[in-house]
Amino acid sequence: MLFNSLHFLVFFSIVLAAYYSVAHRFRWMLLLLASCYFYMVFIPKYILILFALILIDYTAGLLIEGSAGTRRRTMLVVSLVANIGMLAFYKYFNFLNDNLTALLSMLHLANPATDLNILLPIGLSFHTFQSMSYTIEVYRGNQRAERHLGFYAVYVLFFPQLVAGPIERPQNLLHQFRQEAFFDYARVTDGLKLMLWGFFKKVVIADRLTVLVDRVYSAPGAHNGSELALATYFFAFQIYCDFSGYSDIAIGAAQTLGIGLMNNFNRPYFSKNVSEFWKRWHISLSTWFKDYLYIPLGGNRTGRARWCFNLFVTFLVSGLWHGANWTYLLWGAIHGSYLIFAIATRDFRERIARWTRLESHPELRKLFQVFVTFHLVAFAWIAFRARSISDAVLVVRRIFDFAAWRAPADLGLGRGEIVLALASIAFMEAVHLLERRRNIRHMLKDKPAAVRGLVYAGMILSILFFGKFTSHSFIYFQF
Amino acid sequence: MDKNRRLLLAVRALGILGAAVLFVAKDPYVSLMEALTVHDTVYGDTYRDVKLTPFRIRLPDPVGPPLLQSVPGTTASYRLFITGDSYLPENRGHEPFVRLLSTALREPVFFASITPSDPACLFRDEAPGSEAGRGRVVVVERAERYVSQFAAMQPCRPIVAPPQGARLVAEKLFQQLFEQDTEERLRYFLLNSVFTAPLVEAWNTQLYLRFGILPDLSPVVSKDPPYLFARLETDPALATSFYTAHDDALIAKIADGLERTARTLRTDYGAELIFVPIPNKFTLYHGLVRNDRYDDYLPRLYKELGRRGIHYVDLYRPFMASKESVYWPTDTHWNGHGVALALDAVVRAVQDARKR
Repeated sequence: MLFNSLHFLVFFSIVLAAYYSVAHRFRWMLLLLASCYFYMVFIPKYILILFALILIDYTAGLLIEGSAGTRRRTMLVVSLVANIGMLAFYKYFNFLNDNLTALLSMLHLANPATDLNILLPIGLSFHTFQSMSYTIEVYRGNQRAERHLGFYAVYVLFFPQLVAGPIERPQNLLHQFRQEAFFDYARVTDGLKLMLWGFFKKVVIADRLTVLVDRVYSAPGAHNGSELALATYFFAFQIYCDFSGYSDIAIGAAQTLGIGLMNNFNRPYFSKNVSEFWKRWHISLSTWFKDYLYIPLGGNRTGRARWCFNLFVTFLVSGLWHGANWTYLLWGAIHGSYLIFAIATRDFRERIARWTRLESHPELRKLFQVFVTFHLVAFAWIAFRARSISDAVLVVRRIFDFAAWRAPADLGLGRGEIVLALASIAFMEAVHLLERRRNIRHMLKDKPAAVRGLVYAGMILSILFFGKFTSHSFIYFQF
Repeated sequence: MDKNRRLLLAVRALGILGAAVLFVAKDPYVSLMEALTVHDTVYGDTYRDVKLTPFRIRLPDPVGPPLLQSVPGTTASYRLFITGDSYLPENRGHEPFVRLLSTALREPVFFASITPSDPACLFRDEAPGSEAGRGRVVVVERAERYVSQFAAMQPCRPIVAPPQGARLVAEKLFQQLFEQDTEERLRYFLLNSVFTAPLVEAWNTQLYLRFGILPDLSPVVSKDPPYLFARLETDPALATSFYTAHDDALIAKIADGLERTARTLRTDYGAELIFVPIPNKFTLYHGLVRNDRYDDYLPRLYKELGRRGIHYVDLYRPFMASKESVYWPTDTHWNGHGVALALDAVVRAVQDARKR
């Protein structure tokens, strides 16, 4: 079920009430049942895929811990192959098959294999990665194998983060299901406030922007450069608000249940460079790739050429993780290129900063860096959002054809809606600016009750007034 | 009582409330939902969503008990059948169309809402050929915005029946738990339950009066005379809208679907089909908002149906010609005048079909 739905509100209220009404020893069962229900509401039979992976990884973890040498490695490989194999089958088979067909047709050969008519199990990319991190950490000796199948199953299936992360590590999450969480007013209300903020970002900002972005990107040839540029900027905020909104709801929901999930976003559009952006955007995924791909490849502890190769491959794979389309690979390649370029030009850029005296104006320099980084990231989002490489190229050509720019018209959003969207984005970024020093929810705690009440009532009313409730799913659900 | 205990009590109360709402909304026999809602229509009404002062109309009390029949296996004792949604017996409080038709033709009427399934599903429990030559007539009504569904009719949906045996109960439970329509049912409950409908109505009314914001269902209003039009009919992005072109290929597909159904009804169940597409409110009165071109979809459909020998009732011309409005201003359903015009046309069509 979607977080932004009545179904979830009803479901969550029941789960929260039941959680603090049952004895601690039964809570894992409640969470397991609730998580199974949460997942089965999408497509019931796909829960069997998760059950299969849970059994494989649970068994693999125990066997890895109880073995040595080749057997240990074999068990790890079995786990990785099962997870990646499942992902490859459901997510990439048709993509690979289509490309094979195209390749064979160039050689005047026919492809005997046909595309599969299957739906991608929702959240497959997320929970397989979470499962793999468990077996890898057991293999590395950083995590004890979980003996209780129920707790392990809850680790994989935990509903707040099951379908779109954050992708947790077993060291952080697994042990929390054993710890008894007492009902705590401060913790529960803080979690609810975080969920409220997530809903605001999702239904007020993201779902409003999606109307314009979908309209423009579904037919880029029918729009001029100014409209495509506007849609691209809006998409940058749409995907941020959509995904970070989901993460906030997930983290907040888990917090109300006494479970702490990792932070997944840290004001990414305030990054001063692309490297920093990746420390602030989808943190759980970027750290996953860093720990399990980039560093095993050698990371930056190699020669420069190999370092650049490691970066590029990591970002290509990251792009591929997002979807079975060449556009995602292109997006990954663009980010990899950014980082390689940054490495190659570091000294040069320092010299430019000294020459332009920006070095002696750190705030101005920071502003400039944030501005440039945001635009680099926004440019890359073109490839991410476009339906095809040719669409992406068309969008870029039209955006940079400034002579052909005209005033935006017929964007699917009225002027009032666009103003509302801009005001909401400005409000959100103002909150982010305030949060440089301290979390805003903690700041509000020190304020008088009337001020706090006004703020929370204002948020709720703005969601009710300005929220779009026409059931747009979260962008990252498709991954 | 400290803050912790107070909040915990509130959380538990909300949980119990949530469970109760979910239970009512997911009730497999819909009886609980019907008992607790102020509407019987599947969509809820435009009128219910926004009750505007200039639009407030005092509705007459519903007349008589419902004539809703959906008991499997009883079609054998009827000769006149209606399937659709605008004929619902409690529809907006006017004299039920089904009762009026029954009175005019002096015979009982079997009504079942089985849309969007094939109308032949009405007789799913009869053996084909057992009722040949009985002079049966099946009146199939469909709002204009949904007529294109006849191009690809859905297979028969099961009529709700009490479960039998543990296995059936388990299957039913599984279906109810994981059916995809929970969100729609909860939304319907929120908009139409006796507890929340007045709140929703008051909220949406104030939103409109103070800020000019209409709920998604009704984004268009003409000021003089004051009419509300549903998004279903006005949003060019929706396939149900006035702006969706119905080209000749689509018209042919719709006619194909109806022709197949008409043949099945005639040969297997001894029934003549009469198709009654109901012109949308926006089709008739779009001029109050904008003078946009209509693609003459209904007249072209009538022509194609006539060419294939399928009985139909043309309501487009009498509705367009009527000097009096045939729709409630804030509703997607006909008013008494619309019902009267349609009744006259349908009665004549049934009598003609029987003569042939």
